[in-house]
Amino acid sequence: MSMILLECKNLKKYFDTPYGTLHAVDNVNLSVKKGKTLGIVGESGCGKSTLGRTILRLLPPTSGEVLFEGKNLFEMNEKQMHEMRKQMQIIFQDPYSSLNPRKTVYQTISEPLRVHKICRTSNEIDLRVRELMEIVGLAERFENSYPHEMDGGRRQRIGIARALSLDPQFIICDEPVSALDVSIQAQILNLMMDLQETMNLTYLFITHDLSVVKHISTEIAVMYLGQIVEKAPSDELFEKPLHPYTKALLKAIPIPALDYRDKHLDILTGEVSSPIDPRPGCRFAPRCPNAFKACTEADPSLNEKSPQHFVACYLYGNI
Amino acid sequence: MKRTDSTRLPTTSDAGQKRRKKETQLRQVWRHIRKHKLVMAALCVIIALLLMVALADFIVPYEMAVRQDPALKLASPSLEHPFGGDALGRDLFARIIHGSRVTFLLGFGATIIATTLATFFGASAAYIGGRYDNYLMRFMDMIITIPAILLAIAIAAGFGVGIPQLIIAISIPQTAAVSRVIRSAVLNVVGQEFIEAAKAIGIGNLSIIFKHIIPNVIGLILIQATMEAATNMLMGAALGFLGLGAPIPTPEWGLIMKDGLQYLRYSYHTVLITTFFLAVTALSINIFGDGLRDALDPRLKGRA
Repeated sequence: MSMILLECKNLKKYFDTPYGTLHAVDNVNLSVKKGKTLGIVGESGCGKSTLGRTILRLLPPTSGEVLFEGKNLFEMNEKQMHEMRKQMQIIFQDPYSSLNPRKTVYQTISEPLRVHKICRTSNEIDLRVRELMEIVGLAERFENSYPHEMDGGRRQRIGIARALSLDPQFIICDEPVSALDVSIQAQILNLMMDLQETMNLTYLFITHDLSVVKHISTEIAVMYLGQIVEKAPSDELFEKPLHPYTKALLKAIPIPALDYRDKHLDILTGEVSSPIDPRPGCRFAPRCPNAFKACTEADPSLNEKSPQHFVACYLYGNI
Repeated sequence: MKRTDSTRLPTTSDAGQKRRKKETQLRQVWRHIRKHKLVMAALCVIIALLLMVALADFIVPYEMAVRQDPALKLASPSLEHPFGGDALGRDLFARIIHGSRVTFLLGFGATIIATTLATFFGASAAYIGGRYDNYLMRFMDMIITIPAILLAIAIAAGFGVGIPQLIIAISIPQTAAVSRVIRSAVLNVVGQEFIEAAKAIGIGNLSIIFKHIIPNVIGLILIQATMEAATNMLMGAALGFLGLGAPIPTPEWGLIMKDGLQYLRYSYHTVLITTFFLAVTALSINIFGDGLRDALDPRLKGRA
């Protein structure tokens, strides 16, 4: 078994709203092994992005721990955290708003190098920026271009180059391809997988696109309303989903076949219940086709059903 | 990680290329402005006025603006005295030329103070947010409700009449109004992901404000400042007109108008010429401000 690089323990992030406390991330436990990819899937608004931002301390956590190589990030002071930033980076969803429109490609990529004083001379910075641009597949001629002069795929490459500039071990990918065309998506995904291989990167890959997550992840965690409901190795999750929500998600993947057109699909009914002051019990219970009394009484815990396959559901004998 | 060292070393031409690229933004604005005749005309007027302010002493000595010549009392314009004389026999041409210095000082002085403070307050309120933002903005709301004229009277009562007092009186309500505008612009920028990216890299808050946020709102700040300058000049003249500005012998446009008003029946040109200068100044600054806004923000082109 490989080493665990990052671990979240009982991570919570609540937001105070005028209507009550919004449980964006509620008691999340997960771990990412070095050199592997953990995919986080879930529908919009389930707290995936908040989870990523809380792990990086871009948002202050409500409670819990995030251990990076065994060190708790939330107990670090500013200076230690500043050093930690070299180890963990983030790639954003929207390649349009994630780049400063007033900075050229060169300026954007070189900024982290200056901030962390990684390169001493401007010559070194020049070389490093060129190298990074080459790694992510950006032609040198774009060095002085502004982001608005480039297309989405190239912009996303700039974002990747910026994240790589500090030579991090761990990268949170917050839906890095969902804003791109399908053809570009594949290019970027392949690039990210190549980078993982050559640089031994560890990814936390947040997405709502199951086909993408299947492509890239070694392990997948399914999130529903701030909680992880199921976690399993990628293939196992697709072959033997346990949680009713996971099953519903997998069923919702569109299949491009003519004879599927008239088939009736068991689509989930109802809407996501409110994340504000949720009632105790399984968050999914109001929509669950298999819900029974115990489901609405207490939160189910995430238990190991079969090796490496965790599920939080009373159907599988959880207490 | 394996690093493939690039063999190509940066040359001086690369640096030149970078610099050239940076200039284009300014050049774009310039190209845009040059296309619009009205804006160019306004710019020419502003430059002429600024030259007038800078070279006032060379055009006509300050002596002329305060010396009283009985023969010039309410005199009509003549070749020797192009704008004639006022009620005390002072040369109006000299008074207007030198008076522009006070008006421009008021206009630009108050603008610089108000814009700087407003940028600080607006940007920090939007960036820090939360309670600080809330309290600061409610405080600004309170200040906005105080009319500049009332404030000027209060300051004059407490600290006497004078140019610095007047600048302060004008810039306080302006700071409040402009900081709200800048706050909303900064709020837009703060919400974007590149600010989070900067935080994730570990860039300090001050650096984020100055290197990432301000450059993205600098256009708006410039436009605001231009518009403010025109308003401030008018306000300065208005307060001068009420006797709250420069002390009596100093030539100042508002004061000249006030003096001229008493003799409007006998000699209307004093008020007319001064008003013309004030109006042309304010108008050309406003037109230039509009042109600048169109040039900096092409999305708003044609509107308003």
